[in-house]
Amino acid sequence: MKLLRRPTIVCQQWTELITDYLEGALPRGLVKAINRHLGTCPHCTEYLAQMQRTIEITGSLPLDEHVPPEMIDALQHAFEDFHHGLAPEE
Amino acid sequence: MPATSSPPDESALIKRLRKGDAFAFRELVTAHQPRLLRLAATFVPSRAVAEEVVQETWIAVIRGIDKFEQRSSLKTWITRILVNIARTKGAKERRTVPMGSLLSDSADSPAVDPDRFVGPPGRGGWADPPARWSDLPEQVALSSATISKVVDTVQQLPEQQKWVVMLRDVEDWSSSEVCEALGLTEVNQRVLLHRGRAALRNMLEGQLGVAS
Repeated sequence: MKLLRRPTIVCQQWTELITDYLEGALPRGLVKAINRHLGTCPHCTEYLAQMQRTIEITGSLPLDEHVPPEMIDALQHAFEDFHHGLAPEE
Repeated sequence: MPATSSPPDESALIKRLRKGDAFAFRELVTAHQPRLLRLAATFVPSRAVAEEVVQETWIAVIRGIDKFEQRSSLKTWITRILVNIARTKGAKERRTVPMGSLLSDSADSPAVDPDRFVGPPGRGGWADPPARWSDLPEQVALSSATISKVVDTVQQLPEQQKWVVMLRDVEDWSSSEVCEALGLTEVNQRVLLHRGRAALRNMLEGQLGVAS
């Protein structure tokens, strides 16, 4: 009988594979090995949760709402000039 | 928007812009300006330079709208123009900045301090595992102190990591959009994203308190 060795993943490896895992860039066998590991390792499951939370928090970076109205006016003028045949400055 | 979805139908708006409808243009600028300024400010040394980058972006939009082929959304197209302008400017600035002050993109450091594992190198198990963030109240995770730390950390990332993190995780681009705009391979893009996200998680772990 041939014994197929299933790949195993340990914690430290998981912390380096997590992005490829989230990006769907890993072969199926490795994904399965990771899922098996996550099923038994609460710390690595927490690491995944933290990474997902990190991505979420990064996504909430505040917009720059201090837009000077003069800036908008100047751009509008540049637009109008362009359409009246005056090329905007580089 | 992921690249897989077809771009929204913006033909009516594009038509108005091409005809020289200043009101439509003003609306477009007003809608995108806070986002473009946020992105530009991440890559240039001052608010003034960020405004310049955004200004130049809009001038390029004015000049280029006739040739815009609508293969992406207007938003993605405008952002790509900004990326190109900011990258050109960044390259110029770097020539005048002492190189020693810049972190290298190629510095290969592990996502988590190896001292936090026990066992064979690279194959260790957690000795000092991550604390549970789910126990944290939402106010702590999204406090202004946390957010400003995130801004700082993003700003300190090496240039390429910063672009990838900003475009993927802040601007919500797909990996193929990012690869195309930055001239990266998929593998390279993932490596940069991995390092950038790991740096942010490490910072947040310190910031949000490790005690469990």
